[in-house]
Amino acid sequence: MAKDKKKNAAAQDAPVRTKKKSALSEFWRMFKKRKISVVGLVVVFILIFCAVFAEFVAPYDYAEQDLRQRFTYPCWEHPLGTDNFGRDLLSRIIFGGRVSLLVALVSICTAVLVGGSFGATAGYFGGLYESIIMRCMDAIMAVPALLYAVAISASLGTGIVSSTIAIAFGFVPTFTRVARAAVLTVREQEYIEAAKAIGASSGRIIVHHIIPNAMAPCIVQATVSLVNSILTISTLSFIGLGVQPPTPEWGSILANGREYIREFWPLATFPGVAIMICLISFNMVGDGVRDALDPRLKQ
Amino acid sequence: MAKTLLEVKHLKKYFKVSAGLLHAVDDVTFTIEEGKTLGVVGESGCGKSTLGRVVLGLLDATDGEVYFDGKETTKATKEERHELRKDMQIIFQDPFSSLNPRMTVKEIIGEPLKIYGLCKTKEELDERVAKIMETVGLADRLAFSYPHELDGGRRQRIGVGRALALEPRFIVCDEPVSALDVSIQAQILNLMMDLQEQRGLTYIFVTHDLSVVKHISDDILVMYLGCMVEKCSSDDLFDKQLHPYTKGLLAAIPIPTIGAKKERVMLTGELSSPIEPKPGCRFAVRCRYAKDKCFTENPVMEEVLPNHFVSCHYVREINGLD
Repeated sequence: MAKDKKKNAAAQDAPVRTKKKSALSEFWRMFKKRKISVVGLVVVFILIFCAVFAEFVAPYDYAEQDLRQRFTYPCWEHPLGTDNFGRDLLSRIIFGGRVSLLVALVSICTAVLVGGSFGATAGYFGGLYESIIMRCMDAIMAVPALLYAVAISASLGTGIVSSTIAIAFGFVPTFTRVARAAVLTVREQEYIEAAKAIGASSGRIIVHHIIPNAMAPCIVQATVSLVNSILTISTLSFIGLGVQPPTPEWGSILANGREYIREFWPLATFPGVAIMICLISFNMVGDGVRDALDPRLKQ
Repeated sequence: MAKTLLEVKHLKKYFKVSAGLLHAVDDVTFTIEEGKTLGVVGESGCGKSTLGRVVLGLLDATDGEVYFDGKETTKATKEERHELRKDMQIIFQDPFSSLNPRMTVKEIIGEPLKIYGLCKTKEELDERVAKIMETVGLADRLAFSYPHELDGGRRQRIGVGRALALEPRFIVCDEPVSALDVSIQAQILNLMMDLQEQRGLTYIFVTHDLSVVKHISDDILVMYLGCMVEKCSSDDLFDKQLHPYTKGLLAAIPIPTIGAKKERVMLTGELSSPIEPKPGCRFAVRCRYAKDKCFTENPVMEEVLPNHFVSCHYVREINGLD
């Protein structure tokens, strides 16, 4: 024994920590190591800030028309130009971020929570319960998400709330599948059996052992889906079931710009650039979060 | 004679697979006295790990009884099982996959204490975890390390510490050293033997490593395809093994002497399938002494010599005993 201790004391390869840091500070310490993720986070904050304080940030009101200034190319007065009604494009994009970001974030969070819990329990308990859940998800997936959106909008009425519900509903099967697959691999690990051997309840095993280890694919999927949900809300607005005019939304501005794409390029380009910046920065943040939550990457 | 701590009677564990019933553990019977070690040896896939898990109740037995400290445990309710876990623990083979990579050493060792609410305050928990870490030879400064930052030996010490946290009386060691290199193996084995001495622990030591089992066991149980083949004291097994399979198994141990001569009893053929096995001795197809009877009739364990049980129809003829 004494010999063993000596050997341990001699080995200095493992880092010395005097206490476990609070989860949040440890997370931030890890997160900021990836500079690109920090850049992404800053961009995301700017986007959210603009969306929340759109009234103060935007130079004009989103519905203010100036028909003498239709299709103005970018200039000092209108940095991104104006649209077919002479409305300032920058202001519309800033206000449009409100709807896009809100709907995307709320619907994806809902889908992650709902789909994730279905998937995690299905993967963990298996058997008939799993079969029922997974067949239901297959059935949901068999019908195009847009059709649900139409059905839900028809029954609940058009608007932001029903669009959010419709999008969340469409994404639930994706997260169920991803979560189930991740849980299936974690469930076979010996530390799950070890947890059973020390008397841990199923709830404890799921919360403490399975979810932390199965989270990474869900986070990646969430950032990718965030992108898709922004596009879906755009589609819904495009077919007239999403946000109603004159409320701006990135997708609807883009759809509107499509009509004039040959004559006036800014109208279709800038909302597309806004979507792109938003997606890339969310993806970068997502990668950073995934890595920061994995202690195996810690130094 | 010491008190019998664990008694296993006609224990069976079958798994349903698509090809039929897989007989992982078939009619295993043994007893262990308090403070002793039973080594379970056999080649890969002979059901030795399954046996350990069924004894602990991590897998449900298909048939048979397990008595722990006089109480039947195979039909224990959830609450009774929860209580039993305090007394019966397990150390796993692979110290890499048996530790949650997202928990610190302290969290892993402290988890059983939290589950059973054995510590009222945070300070008490810290103190007990520190004590366990000291017992298993882990330095204090590693308390907030993650398993992936440590080497195999220290990881396995965490596994031992987790099993000890509830102060069990009985531990199933499922090949605890086979994933470690030889120098670390010795450390862990010595640690386990020291603990046994200090705390009067009882072990089932599952392994395929014969030199390890000789070192640590009082009694040895040899398994072949889910069945018991031979059971006797550790010394007897290495000096005067009786079953043809055991002979072949022991002949495979290399002798570290140049020019050493010994009779090689080569095992031929391959392990037959444990799925829906044919009647008769499981080993018959590979046994050079096999006769017609071996292919039709199941052999039973009989006490051929005092405290030396063998399951073979012709054990007396083969070994020239009366």
